[in-house]
Amino acid sequence: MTAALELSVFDKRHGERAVLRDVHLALQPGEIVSLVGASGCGKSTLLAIAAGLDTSYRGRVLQDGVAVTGPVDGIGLIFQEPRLFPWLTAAQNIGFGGEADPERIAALLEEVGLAGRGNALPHQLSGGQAQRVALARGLYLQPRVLLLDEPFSAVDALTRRQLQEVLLKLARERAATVLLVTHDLDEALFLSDRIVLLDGAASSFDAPRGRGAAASASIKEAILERLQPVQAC
Amino acid sequence: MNTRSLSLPAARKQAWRLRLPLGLLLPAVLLALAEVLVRAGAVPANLLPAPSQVLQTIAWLASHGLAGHVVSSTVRVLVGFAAGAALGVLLGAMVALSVRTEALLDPTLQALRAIPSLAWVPLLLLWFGIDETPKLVLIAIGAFFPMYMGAVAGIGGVDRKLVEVGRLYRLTRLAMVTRVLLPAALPSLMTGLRNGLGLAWMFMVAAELIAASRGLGYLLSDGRETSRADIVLAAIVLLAILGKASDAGMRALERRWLDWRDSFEGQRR
Repeated sequence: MTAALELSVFDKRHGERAVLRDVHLALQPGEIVSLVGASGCGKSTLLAIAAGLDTSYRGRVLQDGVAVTGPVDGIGLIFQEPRLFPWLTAAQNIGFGGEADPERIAALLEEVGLAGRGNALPHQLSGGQAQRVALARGLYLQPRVLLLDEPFSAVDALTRRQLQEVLLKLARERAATVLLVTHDLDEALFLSDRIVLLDGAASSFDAPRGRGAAASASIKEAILERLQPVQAC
Repeated sequence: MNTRSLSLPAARKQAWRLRLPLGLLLPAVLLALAEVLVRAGAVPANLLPAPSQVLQTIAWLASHGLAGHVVSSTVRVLVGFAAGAALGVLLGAMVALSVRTEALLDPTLQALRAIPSLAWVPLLLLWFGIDETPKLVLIAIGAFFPMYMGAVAGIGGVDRKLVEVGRLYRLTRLAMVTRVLLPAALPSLMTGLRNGLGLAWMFMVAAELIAASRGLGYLLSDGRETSRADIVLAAIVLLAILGKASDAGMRALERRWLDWRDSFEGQRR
């Protein structure tokens, strides 16, 4: 089976410093994978590469076997901050990437729990609401691969759980392949089929979504153990 | 224990209610003082006419071609300002968008900016005669630089993160400018517009003082030549009113176009 998304980064540098080296990662269609690792390990850089925003690296990105050399509609990215355009309403922000389809925008607003708030300007929204709009914008073009860069790290615990459930539901419905960067192991365990630890290379852990607390705890233990010696990566 | 809370909105409302009377207090006192001093003969009326005299002069002028002067000055300002501001936005955007254009244009423009405005006058008169052209060019020069600076700072200062969103959605270069860069730079562009308009009025007076047969600047120099301090003051008052009115119009536009801003200024109003 061709991977929905295949990343091979042999070498990525910021100036003199090597950020990523020999990282290989393949996601099967419909798979939800979390990417964890100490800060500064190049997680966000890897996402920017996968999204086609960063092209100055040695390696390649394949979507369904086709090389990605720049941003494409089939790959969506949701940033750590909402990054809404402050002069556009919530609805206009959601439809920014394509033809504005009021019905689809209204449906997305409802799915992220913001029905009827389409005319609100970003500064009228709370941080959690703005991130919901950003999630809706990321889903608007119906990407088959969705990349998320710590999207829920700045919202409160309750909103985070709601948004995680929205994400899980929408990804399932659309059979989307999801690559999520997070520093929250509980989030990774809750959301993903597989957790990938980025510590120079990429090592995988099968995640036990819905497999009970005991299994979760032992995987968390294993990841933390691996994480400790490479903190300074 | 006694807890007290500061009621900010109420305090703000009160400050707002006092704002107009407070702002009018000083001019009213000064005008009344001038009126009294002139009437009492403490100040010679041919140097400082009483405010009531200036008002009478304005009324007299109104029936003797004042509208024509006001219109020709205003048209000059609008035409010169439009040309200068348009060129300012265009060159400012080019400089902000390309390092190469910046290296090519910016040093020259910065050097030209350092030239005092009045230094242009003799040259413009030599080149274009004493027609409308030198006046319009001088006003355009005045409006150009604030607009240029505003465009360079505004577009150059757009949040990289928003530009990245534009790239993610594969905006063309033109769409990036119209859909992301210009809206994001609008606050700075509006400041440039307002400053440019203010300078356009200033340069209009400079142009008309030197060579004109109509306009408020002409009225100023005519009043001086005929030793009519009341006409000079009348023209000054009208310039103040026109300048203030056009700036107020600009501010209203700014408030309308920038109502999406979540800023201190926005909360204050």
